[in-house]
Amino acid sequence: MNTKTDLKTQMAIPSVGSIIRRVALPFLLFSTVFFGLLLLSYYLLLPRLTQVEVAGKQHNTAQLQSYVTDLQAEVNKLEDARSDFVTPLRDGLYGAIKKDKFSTKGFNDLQEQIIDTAEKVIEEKEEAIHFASFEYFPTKQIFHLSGDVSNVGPRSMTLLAQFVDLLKGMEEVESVDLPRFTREHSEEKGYYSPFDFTLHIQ
Amino acid sequence: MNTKTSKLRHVSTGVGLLIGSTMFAFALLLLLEHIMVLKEVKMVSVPLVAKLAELERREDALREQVELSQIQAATKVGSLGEKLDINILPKETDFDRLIAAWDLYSDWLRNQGLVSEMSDITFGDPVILEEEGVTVRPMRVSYSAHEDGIKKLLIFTQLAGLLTVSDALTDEEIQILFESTEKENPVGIVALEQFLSSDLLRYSRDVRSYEEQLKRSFNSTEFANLLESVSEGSLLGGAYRIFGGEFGKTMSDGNLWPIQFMTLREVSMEEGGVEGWYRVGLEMLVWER
Repeated sequence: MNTKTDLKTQMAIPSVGSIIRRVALPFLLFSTVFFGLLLLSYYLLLPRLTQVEVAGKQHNTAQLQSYVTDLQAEVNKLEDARSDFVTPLRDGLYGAIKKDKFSTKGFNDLQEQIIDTAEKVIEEKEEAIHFASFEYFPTKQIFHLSGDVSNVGPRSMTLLAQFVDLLKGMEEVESVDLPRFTREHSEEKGYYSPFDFTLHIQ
Repeated sequence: MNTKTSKLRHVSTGVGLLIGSTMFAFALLLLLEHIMVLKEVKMVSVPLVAKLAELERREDALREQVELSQIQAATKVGSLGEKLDINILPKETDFDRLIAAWDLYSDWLRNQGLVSEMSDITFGDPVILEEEGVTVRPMRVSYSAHEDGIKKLLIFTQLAGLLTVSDALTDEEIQILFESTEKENPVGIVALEQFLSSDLLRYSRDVRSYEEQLKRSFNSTEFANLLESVSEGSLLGGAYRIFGGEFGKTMSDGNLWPIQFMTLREVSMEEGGVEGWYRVGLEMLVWER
């Protein structure tokens, strides 16, 4: 009985060596066929599926990239040529100084933005920030303003600080030379905070 | 004999396994390569193909436009260059002409109730700008002006030195018009070229006919709307509001156009006695070649 069981066990569990021997040939055949098919696909099928025909020629990705780069360069060259013919005075000294003139920030735009900023601070008190003067030096990119904050009681200095903070946050403003924060009192105005400071424009 | 057969079987199994494994490894590499190629196609080629059609269309349109504009340009450059040398960037400032233009403009603003007082016009010593190789001369004038008058004074300084319609447009605004012609009618570049090289004063005095002439080359309302928004939103709007009326005629009759090139050096604005009125001082640089 025991001898029969041992024989059965021996037959049921083949040795590793015998498994390898049996698998070797099918594995070799499978790998060869698999490799062969992929090789055929790589050289025959893949190019057909992935190449693009442009101007009568087949292009792979790299060639297509270089074709598009060349075409873009040609388009840019033609655009420049068109600009030279259509608007011939855009180059040279005249073109350069005209470009400078256009690129300078306008006085009216800056002034309007400063007044808008002041209005944000004084929503409830329209007459609180009063401007006495504006000066703008476009070539130096400096904007100077003076005036006072009044009609808001002892809060005038706080409002002035808020106004300066908002001006600092303006897109066009690079920096602000801080004013002297002071609160004064007069019969006519009550509490007021005069200001006189400079904005450096970007 | 059995031992020999067994040994041979072992060797053939080993060789079979070795070749099989090598083939399998190469097959996996090829599979990976397939995946890479397909991924590259999806990420690079597909977007490039989409872009390619648009680029080819633009290239054809541009080539046609360059050929057409080349013919037109030959006659144009000479006359513009001459005006540039004589009036806009002259060797010496023609003070009579420059003062007359400012004086007339101030009178026109005064008649509209936008300016009440004007100071004398004074000129400073010329300064040589080494970098540009030009000379600039400071010019100062002050006014008692309404805030709308100040805006118009500043627009006038912007317009001083511009000659054609294209000069009053930025590169971006011109590019918008170019792109629209490419899409709608590449041959329309000839009409656009004529429009852009039109004299700014003549255009300002007869905006409708200049714009209608250009619109005729493009049938769509889209182009008409685009042209309207570009001209209204650019300095052209300022030009036809200033030169569109009597003042433009006076400038033309008095041969005061084009005005010498000027840039703004300083603006000062102090409150005047009446609400909305200010004391405004302007310092400009008058450019000489």
